[in-house]
Amino acid sequence: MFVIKNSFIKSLFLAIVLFVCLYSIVSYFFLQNPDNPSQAQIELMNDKVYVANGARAQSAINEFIFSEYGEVDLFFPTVPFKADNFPALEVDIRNLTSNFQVELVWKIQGNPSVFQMPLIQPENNTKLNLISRNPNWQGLIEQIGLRIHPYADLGIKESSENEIFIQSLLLRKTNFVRDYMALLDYWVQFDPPTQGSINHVATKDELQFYSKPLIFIVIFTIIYALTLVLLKTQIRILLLSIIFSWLVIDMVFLLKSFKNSIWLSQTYSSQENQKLPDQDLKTIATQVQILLGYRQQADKDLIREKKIYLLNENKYELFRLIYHLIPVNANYVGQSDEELFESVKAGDYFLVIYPQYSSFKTLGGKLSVYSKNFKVREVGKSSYFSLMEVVK
Amino acid sequence: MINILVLLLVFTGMGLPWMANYINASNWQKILGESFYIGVFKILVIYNIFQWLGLDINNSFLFYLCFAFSTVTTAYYIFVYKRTMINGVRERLNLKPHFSNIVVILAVFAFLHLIFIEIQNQSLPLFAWDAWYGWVAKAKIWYFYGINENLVGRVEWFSAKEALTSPIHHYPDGLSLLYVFNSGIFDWNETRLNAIYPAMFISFILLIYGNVKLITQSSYLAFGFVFVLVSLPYVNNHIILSGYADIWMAAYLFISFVNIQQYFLTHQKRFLILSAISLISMLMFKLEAWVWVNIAIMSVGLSLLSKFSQRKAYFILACVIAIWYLFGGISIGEFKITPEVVAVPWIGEFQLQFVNTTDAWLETFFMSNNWYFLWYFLLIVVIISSKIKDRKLLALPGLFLVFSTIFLFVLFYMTKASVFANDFTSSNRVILQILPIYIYFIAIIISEYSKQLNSKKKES
Repeated sequence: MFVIKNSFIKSLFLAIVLFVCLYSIVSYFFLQNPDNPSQAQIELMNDKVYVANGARAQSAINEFIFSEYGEVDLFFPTVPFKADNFPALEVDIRNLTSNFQVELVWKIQGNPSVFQMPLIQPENNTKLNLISRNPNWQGLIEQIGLRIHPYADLGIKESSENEIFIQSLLLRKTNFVRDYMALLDYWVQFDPPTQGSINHVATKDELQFYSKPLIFIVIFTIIYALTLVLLKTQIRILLLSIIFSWLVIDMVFLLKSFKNSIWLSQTYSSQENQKLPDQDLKTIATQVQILLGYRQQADKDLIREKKIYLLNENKYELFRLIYHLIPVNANYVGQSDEELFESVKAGDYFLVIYPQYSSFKTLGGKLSVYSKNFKVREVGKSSYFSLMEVVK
Repeated sequence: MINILVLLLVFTGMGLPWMANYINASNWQKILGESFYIGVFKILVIYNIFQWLGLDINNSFLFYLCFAFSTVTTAYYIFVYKRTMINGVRERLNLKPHFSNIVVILAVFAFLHLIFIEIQNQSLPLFAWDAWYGWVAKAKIWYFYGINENLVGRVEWFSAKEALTSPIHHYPDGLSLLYVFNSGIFDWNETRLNAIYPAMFISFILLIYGNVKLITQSSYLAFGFVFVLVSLPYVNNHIILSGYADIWMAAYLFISFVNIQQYFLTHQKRFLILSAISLISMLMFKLEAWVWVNIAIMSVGLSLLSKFSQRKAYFILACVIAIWYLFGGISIGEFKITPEVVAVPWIGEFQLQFVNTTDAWLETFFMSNNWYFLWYFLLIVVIISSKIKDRKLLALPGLFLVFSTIFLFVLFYMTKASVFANDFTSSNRVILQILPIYIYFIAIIISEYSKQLNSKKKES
């Protein structure tokens, strides 16, 4: 049986009122429009949308299917417009699985660079993105597009057969009443784990200092505590105010976390046939193991002497591949290792990852590794790798 | 969930003999939590002995043997101590009414965190960089080739005929050996092997609760700080993205620390033994454990001195630093500590040069969600601690935290490790290692200050 005292209810009521007031003030500043004449909004979805890089448009103008690489690139022909006039982009995309990220890309007149920024994860409802927070959203925008692709390093690049629907893509101004919950959307933004997220559970950079959830709650706690002191409330209630604030920030974290949790259980939960964030590298490793004659644990001594030198410039890919290749005796070769190349002998192997993009090329049976050439024989290849045995 | 429970049973059961002799109604959480870590220590010692003798080991056989042993010991101790533990739980449930609703709310939140940790940890493949780069990769090699497979450095690997290499071949083996041991039941399934992290976290919670309660004599305070620990996003992520050694360091450092303090308070030898075992265990996980061991020894030494002797010691220390600086530092063979370089064999060589990393620290402590408000309390902690008159309990953790701060300042402002502060990699993880002692320190301060206020009230 809960025993709730009157003073506790009063303090809780005061906390809620204060929280709503503070949220409204911060939200008002967060949604402030730049000082310029009002403009009509622009709906980017129209019948001239250009679909690039192998993705396909379906019968309706707003339905798309991913390319074989699991990506959709869309470009929206528009009359050049001033970035300042449209500080917000309202996005409503349906049927998009959570391991895909949506990015806005644009070009500014007179600047050859292409700029991009990640948008809030679509969740089958309308999300407001404050694009004016991006320092590159300026000048006269002459081209605008959307890239939908798996999350870097962990998105599983499987081509979804599902059609995605873009209900609306609206460039517009912000409105305090209509967009009141936009700040909360930023706070609980879907944020899947990455290999780096252990180090830094950061809030979104697009938020101003005072609207970051932690800072907001700190400001709230200070104001609330001062109010309680002014009202001459008991010390115990002051302590409760800190607990209450901690619970609020924790609720924000939990909301965000459970969103991730649902995505995780959809994506990785199968323990028997678990997909990996680097499925390509795992596939390469398995194929190379088979090419070397390794099929089961008893074969391990067969492959111990077969040394593999990996050639790639991406540290993340190199070490993930070394891990997947175990028990194969493999490691990478870097430019600073040239003095050690004398140790490479006939019967060793070179493994080039993603040969079509690699700077390590073979010509006339010779593989050039930095400034040295090795005579090699290709013993296996796919579109992802090329395995070569050193002949001499 | 079952994976986590099995590991909890095995390691706790291995650690219970001897530890369980001291169980009573008020300390069973401490004993259970610490038993898990003593169990881990015992298993690592078994592996180390086999490595030393050059003998191979059947991981499945050893695991199931330990499983059987742990089941029997746990069942035996439950049978013997069931009354004691039931009384202990009853005592906890007998809460004061005005706190009960808060405790229930906090318990619900803590439970949600544990559910979230369990779901994520037991769904994810191996994500953490240090895991597949180092600790777990090393374990995977030993899983295939046996624990006596000698790993060489990368440069030697080029010319070695059959040897395998690992970037952490010269690092302690503790974490890798734990994965090898657990492969005895889970085979090589990384997601299942990662269950060791939630299992150790549950024990960690128990031992934090037990030790804070023991020193403050307050279940509410102990529960409050358990909630703080369980809710911190950085701690959640650390357990979910399994494969880092830092939380193990944090646990062993904390156990050794609280037990040495208990030894000085009670003069019972078992606390001293437990503290020594924990320090040794910490050295089995990471090289930087040597730094914490030295800081801990220095803090213990200074805390034992009288106020006058302490001042004398600080004066001597200041003189030594001044002389060290004026004469260009110390240099004995490969061991060098000069104003330009710190070189310690086996640990590394660090060029000293000032790099301002304050912005990164401000962001990590006060703006990102890693630690919630925990570091905002620092100022309040310093103010209140200066008001406490009886500092008997504060001296040791206080000194340890001050020396740790000096060490972290030198590491992240004066050496190349500053890049890890600027990109938020190891800086947060090093903080995690001393986090439990910081929490413990806050708990002591709150407890001592409220006692002081209460006695003042009584006097007036």
